[in-house]
Amino acid sequence: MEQQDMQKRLMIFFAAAALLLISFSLVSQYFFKDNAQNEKNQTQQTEKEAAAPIKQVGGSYDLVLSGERVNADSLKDIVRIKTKEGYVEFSNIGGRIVSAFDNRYNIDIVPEFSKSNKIFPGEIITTDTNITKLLNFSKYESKIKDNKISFYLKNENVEVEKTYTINDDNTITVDIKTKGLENVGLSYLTGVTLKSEGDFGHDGPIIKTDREIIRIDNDINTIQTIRDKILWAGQENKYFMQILSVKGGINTVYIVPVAKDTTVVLSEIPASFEGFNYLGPKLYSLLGEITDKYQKLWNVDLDLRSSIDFGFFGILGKPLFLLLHFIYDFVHNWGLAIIVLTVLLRIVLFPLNHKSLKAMKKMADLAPEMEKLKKKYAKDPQKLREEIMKLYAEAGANPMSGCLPILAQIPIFIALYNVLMVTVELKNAPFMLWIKDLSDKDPYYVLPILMGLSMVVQQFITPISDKNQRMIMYILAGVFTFMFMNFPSGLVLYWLTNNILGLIQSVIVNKSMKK
Amino acid sequence: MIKKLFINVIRFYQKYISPIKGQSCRFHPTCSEYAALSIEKYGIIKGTLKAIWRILRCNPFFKGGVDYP
Repeated sequence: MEQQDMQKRLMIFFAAAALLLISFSLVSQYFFKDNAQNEKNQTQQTEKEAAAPIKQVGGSYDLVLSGERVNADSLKDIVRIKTKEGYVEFSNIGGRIVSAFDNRYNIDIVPEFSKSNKIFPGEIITTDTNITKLLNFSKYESKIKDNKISFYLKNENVEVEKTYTINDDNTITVDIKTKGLENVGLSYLTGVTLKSEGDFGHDGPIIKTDREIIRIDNDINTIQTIRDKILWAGQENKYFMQILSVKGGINTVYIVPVAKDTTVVLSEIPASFEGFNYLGPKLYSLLGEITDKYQKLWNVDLDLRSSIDFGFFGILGKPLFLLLHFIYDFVHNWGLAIIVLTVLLRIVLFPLNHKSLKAMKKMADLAPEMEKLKKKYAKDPQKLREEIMKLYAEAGANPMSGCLPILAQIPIFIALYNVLMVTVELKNAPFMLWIKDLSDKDPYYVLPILMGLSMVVQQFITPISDKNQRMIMYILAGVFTFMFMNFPSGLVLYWLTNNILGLIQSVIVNKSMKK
Repeated sequence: MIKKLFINVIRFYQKYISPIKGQSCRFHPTCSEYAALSIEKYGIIKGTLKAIWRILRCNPFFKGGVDYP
């Protein structure tokens, strides 16, 4: 009877596990397909659609998304300047930023949409369409000096001088001086929707005011206007951003929908201004440095770090990330940092301290009594456990770590998952040998398989009498291995390290019990 | 009844999830058994609170031993 019941349970368990796995793969497949289709739609639409002009008192901003724009610049007349981590390219047509390549991530922060529609950060859009065309579709004279590039444009009415300085910290200082544009509204094209980096993050416009951070979704249908004391604004995805910050702040930002899930951010600017562009990754320490720099220069707290969104589990993820980052500063390898963190957590959460080592010595003294109890209650495991626990408590020595340390693993696990999914530091972060990206799955499934094996070994070490239960555990080890196959390898690394430490601990405990 | 459901969830945990982590509890009965017993005895709210308090105590800084709800 019991046996039958067990088999039934096993069947149910198998069925449930299989169902879960299959439905998971179906769902994820569906989503991937969906994404691919969306992208297709997007490019089709971008060819047809043109932006609606901004209706505003005193004029409207027209992006001139037409054939004229596309034909004006063939992207042949380009100046490339090396940066610390890649390069920036400017077009002599319009003096715009047409490329910002980062070697570390092998990515161009200026998106494909910009290139196909020839709409770039660094453009000056005015309320006069003819002036807008003049400022962005005509050839500027350029002059390079070290890390500084200047663009000049002059005709009988209008004079424009744009100077970009490429700094070591990945920022581009922007200095714009104009003449003859006092009677039109001016805005600086701050960002165009970046290529999405997947779920777990916001894609779209981001605006930092002196009080808060405003995130706007890409699927808006009408122009959004934000009036506030704005410190910086632009576009972001999970990992990267394209922003402009103006000295002294600005008052108005427009978000213009230009295609499906694609927007352009315009920052309204005075006729002359000084500021900086940042087109790059949201690296915690770098954004901190830039914030500090402008705290000194402009005496304002830009708080660029607030662009890093840890998401729903940020309460857990952020402190763990800070801890990981702290360790990383010493070891300079994120994989190693995860291992060190795991060891540290073990030391805090598990009784491997001086006190418990003492307890283990006591355990050795208890061994004869344990044997006696084992014989006495051989037929009643329940009672045996009770008596053993009594013995431990009386002697003040308990080899078990307790339920709390085990439960504490769950939030840490979630936090680490969060950190791996949302921080750019762990994107493309190599560990060693075959692990080239800790935020991606193990390409050869070595870590998940090792982890499964470590679970099986753990079962060998812990003595269990029930055969069925042991069977379940082997199955679970298999299910876990499969589950972990597609998890980020950093997470599997954590779990594997944790398992191995647990094994070592069990071995030590077992040895001290046998002595 | 919700009480039954809670206890069944705990039993499911004991059967299929708990084995993954191996034995770790410092008490007798184990924390999960304690939770089931205390929910049975005190009802969902008080029983759950008592169970949470028990789990919080189940760490190397407490002695452990025999502790029934």
